[in-house]
This record gives sequence, C-alpha cells and structure tokens, in this order.
Amino acid sequence: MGKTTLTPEEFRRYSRHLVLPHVGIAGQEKLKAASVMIIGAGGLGSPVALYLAAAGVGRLGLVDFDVVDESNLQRQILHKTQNVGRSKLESAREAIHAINPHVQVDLHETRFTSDNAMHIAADYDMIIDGTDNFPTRYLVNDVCVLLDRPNIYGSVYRFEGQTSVFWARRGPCYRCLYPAPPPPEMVPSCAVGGVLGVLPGLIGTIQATEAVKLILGEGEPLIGRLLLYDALRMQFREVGLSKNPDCPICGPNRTIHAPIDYHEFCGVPGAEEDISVPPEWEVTPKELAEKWRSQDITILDVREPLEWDIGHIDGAVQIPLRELSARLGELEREREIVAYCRSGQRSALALRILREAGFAKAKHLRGGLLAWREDIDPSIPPY
Amino acid sequence: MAVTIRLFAILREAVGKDGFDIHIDEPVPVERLFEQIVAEHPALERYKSMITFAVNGDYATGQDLVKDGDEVALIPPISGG
Repeated sequence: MGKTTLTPEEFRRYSRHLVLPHVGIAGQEKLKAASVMIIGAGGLGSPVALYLAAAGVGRLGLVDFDVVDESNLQRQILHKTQNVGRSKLESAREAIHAINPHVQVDLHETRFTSDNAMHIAADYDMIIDGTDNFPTRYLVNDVCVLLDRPNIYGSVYRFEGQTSVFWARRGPCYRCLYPAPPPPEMVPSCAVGGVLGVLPGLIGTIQATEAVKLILGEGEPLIGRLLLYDALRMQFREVGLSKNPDCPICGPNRTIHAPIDYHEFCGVPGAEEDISVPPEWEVTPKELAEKWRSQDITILDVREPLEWDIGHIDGAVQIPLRELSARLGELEREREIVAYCRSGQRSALALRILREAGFAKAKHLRGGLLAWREDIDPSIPPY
Repeated sequence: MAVTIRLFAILREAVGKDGFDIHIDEPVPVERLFEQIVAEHPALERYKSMITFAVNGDYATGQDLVKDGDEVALIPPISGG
C-alpha cells in the first residue's frame, strides 16, 4: 500500500466508504482534503453539516448569527433542547464534534453580507445555500459565480422543496432560473407559512449527497436540473435548466462584477435596519384596547389564516399580507385602520401598502399580538 | 387540443388546486398561454413576474411554443431554509 493521509482510526471509522466503489481510499482522502461552507445552520444546514461531518469532510465552515430558539427544534436537528438561547454556531460545533471530532469546524458568527461574503467564501471549495431569505440567496449565487464555486442550492416551503447544483462553469446559475426576485410580501417565509419539520431534512440530505459527489468527482451531479419534491404527494419531478444567455452575472455580457446591494435588489429592508414606521403611525396595545372600546375603527389581521386559530383579537378583519394589495377594495379609505400581525413586522409592511394606497388614517400595532398578549390578553398563546 | 397545467407552492394555494387542463385552438407561446390561464384563474395574474415555466420537464421562455398534449409547470421561487 502506498502513502495515505488516513490514520488507522480513520480506516476503522470510514471502512464502509473504503470498500465502496467510487470512494475507496482515494475518495476518502479527497473528502478529508475538502472544505465546504454552509450558509445557515438551520433546517437545511443541519442535515448537511451532520452528514458531511460523518462522511469525513475535512473542514466545514458555518455561517450564522442567530441563537437557538425553541421553535427551531422541530426541524433543525443540529440543535438540542439544552442549547436553546445559545449561539447556533456553538451548538452546531458541539453536535458536529460529537459525531466526528476529526472535522475542523470554522465558525463565522456574522451575517453573510456583500461586504464579507467574497472574503469568507474564497476559502472553501464549494458553498451550500441553506439560507432562509431571497437577498442572501442572490448573494450566495453571485459570490459562487464570481469565485467559480459550485452553489449547492436547496429551499423549502410548507410541504415542497427545490434543490439543484448551480455552477456557472458547467451550467446555469440561480439567476438563470429566477432572474428577478419576487415582490417581498408575496412569498411567505417558514416563520409565516410554516414548514413540515422533516422536509428540510430530506432536501438538506440531497444537498449533502451532491457535495460528496462533487468532492469525489463521481456520478451525475444535479447541474442543469432542478429537482422539485412534494412531501404530501411523495413525488419528485425534474426540470431541465439551461444557461440564460442574457444572465447578468453568468452570461457573456454580464453587468455584475461584484456583490451588489441585495436588500435593495429584493426590495426588502436589511435585517439590521428597522422597517421604519413613524411613531405617529403606531399604537400600543393599551391605546388599541382603548380605541377598540370607544371608537369606530377597523382592526386588520394581516397574518395567515391558521395563525388566527392560534389566537386573535376578536372582531378583527382578516386579510393576509400577501393578498392585501389585491384586496384593498374591501377596506374603507376614510376609516381608521389598525393592522396587526404576530410581532409587528408584517403589519409594518402592510402599513406601507395602506399608506401608499391613500389610507391616510392607517396605523399598526407596535409589537404585534405578542405585545397584545403581554399587556392585554394573556390567554393568547405565544408562538 | 388540451394542455395540462401543473402548479407548485404558493400558486397551488392561490388557485386552490395543483393543476388543471386548459384548451388551446393551436400551438401558442408560453406568454399567450399564461394570459389564457389568467383569464380562467385571475388569482394567478399578480404572480406573473416571479413564475418560471417548464414545458414537458424543460425550462421554457415566454416565446417557446406549447402544443396539444404538453405539460406546462408553473414554478414560483421559494426561500425557506
């Protein structure tokens, strides 16, 4: 036997790989020498990190800035109940090292932004897109194109998932598939729309599989193919993709040569900036309770229908944010309208829509139903 | 002549089902087919700018022709992770 970088302990640990056609000692050495960056230590990032660690990928870079929340545990299997409130990255490193202490884990405890993305990503062979928002997805795509890295893409919505490998050198990129981002209020996030807990487990596991195949240089990667998964019907479909010759970043006449401002591009406020609402457009729970008793106002619930069942303000009118623009005709422009949602974010977006449409007396409930629960109605469950 | 339309993610919720058949008199470009779809299901109109189309399992542009018996998938972006 020639020289190998594998230790005797690694021979024991990876023995099922070492006897496997397409992997063997040479393949396991490739895995050990590989580096993969995972953007987001959440629903998708969890199975990716755990399986790549178990498989013996030598170095994993994790990017996240969040702390573990109780509502993450239903699907983000990197994180354990005891780690609620702790940094997601610390929690992830513990879980990864419990599976495989040989893996080097780099923690990038920061938001992935236009300012730091190129610098962080340049240090890795490939990037896993496990983010939960459009601005970061376009950023991940553009960075991968600019640095010539494969972008192993996955995303989920309720019971459905999408996954593909975007690698501009060999096929289309995410912008070839979706040149323009959707209007911000029209695609609900997991927090708003809900997500089946096992769904990101499956999509993330496909992303991990593609990463391992690319490292090994074996099989047919998911390049130029979009895989659609429907958990309710238990169906997979495949859509053949091709490069868009007019793509602004991977086409021959590209106009994008460096990361841009993705929040502006997607029309959504940056995470650090508030969705700014002038104070005179806000009401507190106590003020709302007072108005509700004594005046002729409309309370507008802009959440999704199932959230109503969890808890609501009696007598409110229901119009989900994503339908609001189309259903303005159901509201009276002259009336005082107070919009509310769970925490005050969606109602701030709703307020912007209402004010722009000429509802000069529209306001929103600061802090949303969570604040209402705190100050007025403790019977509403927190969610 | 009939074309089968398949809907995904938020488009299913907008229409309340995951697909339907639509009749065409002659082969039509995807763009025109979408106008016809909107005429029957106006709820889809506002999603126009964000839909990716696939005809018989392959990405299609607005100018690609749809013929009798084709399957057209309307695939909106999703972003959860």
